[in-house]
Amino acid sequence: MRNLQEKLKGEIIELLNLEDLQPEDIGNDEPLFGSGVGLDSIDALELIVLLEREYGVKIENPEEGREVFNSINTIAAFIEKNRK
Amino acid sequence: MKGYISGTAAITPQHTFDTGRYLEEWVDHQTSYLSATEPAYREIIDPKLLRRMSRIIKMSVASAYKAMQMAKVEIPGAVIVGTGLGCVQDTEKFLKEIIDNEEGILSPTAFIQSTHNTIAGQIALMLQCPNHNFTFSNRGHSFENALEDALLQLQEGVEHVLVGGADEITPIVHELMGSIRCVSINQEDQLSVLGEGAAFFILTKDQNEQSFAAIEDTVAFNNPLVDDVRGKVVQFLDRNELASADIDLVLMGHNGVADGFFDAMGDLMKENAIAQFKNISGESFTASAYGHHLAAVMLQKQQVFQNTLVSGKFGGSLDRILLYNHYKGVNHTLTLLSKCPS
Repeated sequence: MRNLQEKLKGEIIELLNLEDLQPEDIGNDEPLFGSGVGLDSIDALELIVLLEREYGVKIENPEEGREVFNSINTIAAFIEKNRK
Repeated sequence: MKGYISGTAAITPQHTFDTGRYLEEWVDHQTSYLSATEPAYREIIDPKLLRRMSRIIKMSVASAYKAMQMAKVEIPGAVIVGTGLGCVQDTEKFLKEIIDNEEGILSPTAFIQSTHNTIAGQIALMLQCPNHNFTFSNRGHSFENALEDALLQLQEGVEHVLVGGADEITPIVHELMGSIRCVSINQEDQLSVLGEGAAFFILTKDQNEQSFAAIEDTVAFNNPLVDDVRGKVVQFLDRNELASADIDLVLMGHNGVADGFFDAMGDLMKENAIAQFKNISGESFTASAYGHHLAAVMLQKQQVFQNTLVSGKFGGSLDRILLYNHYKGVNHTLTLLSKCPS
């Protein structure tokens, strides 16, 4: 699980071109949207693509997405739970 | 149709963005096309927004911002952009993703940013500007069409318009254009050298404290014969009640290649000082946007830059510049620019 969280941080930084951030700058429970890392709705679309492409997990329900993308920990837990 | 230039900025393969060292240090490019000399964007654009922008958007947004600052305009009455190839870098990225993912799951950002109107859209979003927003993509007349729309907006009562032209090159675009012998791919080629950049202007309906030059008139025409050029120029000067002797400088989009159109123009205006701009900008669908910018800067500074003068002598006051450009002999442009009376 810990490795997955670190991997996710690296992938998110690269995918979203967050040049100012290093993986260690993102806390596992830090909110990714709004006041935390500061991601927005287009980033959410990119994260949906990332999860489906890299981990084979789909987010079907937008309400579910809101909870899943809350933090690195919630994304990692969602992947662990749904990965085949 | 007349518009006053109250602000302008350009990013080109030379130092043209920093007004303090405008064309002072000549950048020698060792590549077969001319890449833009870009500023430190992080000092100009919010880094949060910067992370999604491709080069053409960065060049355009930075130039647009600077032109607006010069003109002291916060929200323009219209945003109008001309671009020949649009956001090529993101288009390539999106097409590659389609192939790599076998038309499967695709990144939304590359798609959103791949359209031609992303530049004007991005500027409007950043400024929260809901006004007229238009993008023209019409080969070598992309900027000219944008300029004509801008002048029409002013004629219809809009106070100020942000208008510009931009194009970017990628290695793939250069390779493709080279393979169809459209541009030079090595130094032995007797073909034009591809360049890239962005030039933006704030045009105002009325002269104000910031105005330093004016676009008096412009005309765009297609597919003339070499013998037609003389008549077109005389006609253009006539309708502005001018003779060739009234022109202080002819600024041409000559690209260093043997060219009957520019020879005809040079012959007609042989008594005038003649300068060029494509040794700075390189060739592109919107190179003339930089030509217009250079003419405006020359009128503002009352200076003909050493690296641009081709023939004749410049002395005294620089009141009127006649710009002549063509793209591949197809899309031709004549614009008359003047110094604003103080």
